[in-house]
Amino acid sequence: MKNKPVDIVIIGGGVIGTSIAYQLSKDPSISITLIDIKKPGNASQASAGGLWAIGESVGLGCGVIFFKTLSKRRQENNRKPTIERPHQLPPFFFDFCLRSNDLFPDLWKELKEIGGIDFKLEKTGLKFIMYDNDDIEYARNIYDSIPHLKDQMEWVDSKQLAKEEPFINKDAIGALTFLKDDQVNPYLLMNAFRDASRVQGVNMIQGEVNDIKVVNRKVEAVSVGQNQIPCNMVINAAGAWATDIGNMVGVSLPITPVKGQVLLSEKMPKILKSCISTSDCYIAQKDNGEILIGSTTENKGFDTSTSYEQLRGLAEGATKAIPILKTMNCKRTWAGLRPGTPDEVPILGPVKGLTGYLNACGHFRTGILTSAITARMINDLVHGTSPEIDITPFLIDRFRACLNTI
Amino acid sequence: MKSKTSQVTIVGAGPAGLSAAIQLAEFNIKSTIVDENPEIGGAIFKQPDKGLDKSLFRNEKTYIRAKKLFDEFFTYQSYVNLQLGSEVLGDFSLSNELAFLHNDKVKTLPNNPVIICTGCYERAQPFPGWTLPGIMSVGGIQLQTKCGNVKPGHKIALVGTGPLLLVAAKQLHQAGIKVVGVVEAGLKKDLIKNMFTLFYNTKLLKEGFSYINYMKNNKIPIFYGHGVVSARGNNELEELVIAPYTKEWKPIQEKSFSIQVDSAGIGYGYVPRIQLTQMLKCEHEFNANIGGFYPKVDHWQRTTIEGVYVAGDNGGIYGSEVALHQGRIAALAYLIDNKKITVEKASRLIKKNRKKMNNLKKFQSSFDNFSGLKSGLLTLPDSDTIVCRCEHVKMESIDVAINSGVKNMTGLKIRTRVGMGDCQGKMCGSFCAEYLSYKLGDTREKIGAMKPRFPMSPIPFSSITNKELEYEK
Repeated sequence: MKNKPVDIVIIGGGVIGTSIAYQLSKDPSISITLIDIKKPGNASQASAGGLWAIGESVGLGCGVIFFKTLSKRRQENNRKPTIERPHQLPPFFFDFCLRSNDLFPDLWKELKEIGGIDFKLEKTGLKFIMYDNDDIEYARNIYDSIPHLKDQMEWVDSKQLAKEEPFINKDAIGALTFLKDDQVNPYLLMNAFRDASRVQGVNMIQGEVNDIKVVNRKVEAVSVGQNQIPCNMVINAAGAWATDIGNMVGVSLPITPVKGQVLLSEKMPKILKSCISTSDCYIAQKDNGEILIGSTTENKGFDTSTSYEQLRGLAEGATKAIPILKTMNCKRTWAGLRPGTPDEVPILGPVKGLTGYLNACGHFRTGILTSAITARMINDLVHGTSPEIDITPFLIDRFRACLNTI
Repeated sequence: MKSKTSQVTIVGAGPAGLSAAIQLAEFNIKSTIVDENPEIGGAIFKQPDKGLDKSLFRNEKTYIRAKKLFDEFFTYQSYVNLQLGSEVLGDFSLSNELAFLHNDKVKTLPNNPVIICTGCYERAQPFPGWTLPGIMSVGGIQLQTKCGNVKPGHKIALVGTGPLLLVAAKQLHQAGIKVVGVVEAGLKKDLIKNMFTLFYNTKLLKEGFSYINYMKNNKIPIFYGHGVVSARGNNELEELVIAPYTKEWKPIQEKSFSIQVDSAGIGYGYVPRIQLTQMLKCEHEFNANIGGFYPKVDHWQRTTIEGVYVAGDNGGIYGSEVALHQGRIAALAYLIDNKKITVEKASRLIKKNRKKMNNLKKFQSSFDNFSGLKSGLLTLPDSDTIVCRCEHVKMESIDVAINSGVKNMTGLKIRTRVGMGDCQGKMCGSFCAEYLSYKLGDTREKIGAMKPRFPMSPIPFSSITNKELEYEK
């Protein structure tokens, strides 16, 4: 069956795909179809919803566990540790995250107005809790490495910490607070993007993409089940499955699923003002009172099962940080698949020699946070204007090996 | 007995689980049974708590059957490692472990080979006022009285469909509670029409009539072809609004009337407890007549996953007699697969059971003509009725979600939070899926089902940091 031609097909109904749909649909002259490919392990649905712009850039949140995993692997391989300090991402990535974070207050207003959904933007800040000298050293390293962001950080001593967060372990010797690292409800954010997009005329369909028609190095149509949708452009926002989509147009993407396991508490009264990161886990109390504890970093392919040892590690870290949790109930656990890239930086923008195709994938552990800026950059590219942030370091071109295959 | 020597894990100590263990023991195979209850018997043969009066339990017809099974089971006790008070929480597929909670500790057992006999639970039916204190499930009310020696109220009505309404009515009446009436959605003429196939043998026919006569002799009215409309009351149940139902079980509002009660047992169907077979990635099929989704099995109760067998109502609602036979068949399948018996010998051994079982299944399918759920039930809630009690999701939100393009259960969950609470959708899952299917005109396969997650019931965080290995690997 042949469908009416559209201008743009967005593949992926997670937070990146829906954010792009929302941004592009502000221009009523563009016709857009979004294909939501339902897969177990969808990272947007599994996410904690942290907007930890500095935290994630300096290797807190999921990053601190990622760092531990890397260090452990290096030790096991008997190699000299090459990462002796927090695993920090390059300055352009900081900029990318910080700018995206700044977009959220306005985005909240817009989306609430257009689609009616409040995605619960909460001013929480993120606290790195320190128990010993190693933790202080770790935090000190972070602090010293980003002198230009000093006004967004604050040292908190144990007394002040006990006052601000009375449920944190009394053995904690202090914390480093990232004042602007807040949180949202990830499901509601996705729903808000989706509803606003629909209001602005985006056509949403569900299905499996089985082929993309490319003629003379130009994208012509996308096949979904029995339907073929002729289009001028495809945007690959397929998360951990982006590689499959890339293969359909002859682009080899170095994106692999990186499993993260999460535990969730029953609903509790408000006991945390801030989001928390320790060197064991991160902890975020969400708008409805549930406490979310994450997250592991595992290379297990597309497996989305939970495993006891990993859950226990996280539960131990969380009950150490917040002792009262011991008597509280865990009501659910799950695993999501982050779209990981070798350098932890997303892959955005066009591919040389291929017309009508844009990457918007590989957002690893910061998809929720960077969904806002990603959509704006893609929007600029679609309209032929130069993005507010230099696209160069995000292009697929940085991976030579991938380019050779085209 | 050392647990290490156990060769098969059995989940559930109801009729199916016990008969599977017996069949295995007859071939010298040791098994471990895990069950959340403090005593064996499952739901149908549930025994009164320790130290409580057992007379109501012993008065029951089912007691004779229960006692026969228990006695047989106890002769083989040395073959069974019985893990009671142990609630199964889920599966850790990467380490091949089945996790359960015992004395506030997470413990594990091998997840294969396993015979899953988790039975069923009552399907929740939302209607305006159904969350008022005093309204319970009919099975819950029956167990309270029979096993907990608790009077659920003083004036009670039993509303829904199926034989449990009459069984419960009799027990409650015997316990000295005023039973105002039994409200059965099925029509009397359908009951009579199906009578001979319904009670396929004289034993069950007599049993059925004895309940109907009991109601007659004790002046307990049975309203056939009627059902619930709503419940009213100031902070607790005071009156139940009842109306005749159309052929599709839609209440005829103008003919509604109310009955004054302080409690009510509601029972519109059962749902197979498939969470564990879902977690084990068994393929499932759908059949509304046997409660919804159930694991696909072959002639020997083998699921699509090697080493995973099912028996009892979790494989489709056929009742406890069928469960007893299926337990034996599943155990024989294990024995065949592990070369302890030939297929021919096993077939001979089970021939009589199969015949009886097939008769019982026929009985069940003819009963559906009388008691099978109809779509009118889906129209009972109004926009303000809470559907998901854990997350307080109202009917209105579900309609809004459908209008904004939700097409399946995953979408509905993300959109409205149904099923994201403590029970993971065991309560509302069935209704929501039926409603989506009804509204969208899509099959239940397309609508999908709630996906269970570890832990299937909430557990304290301390229990996760506290695991003990039940088995040494």
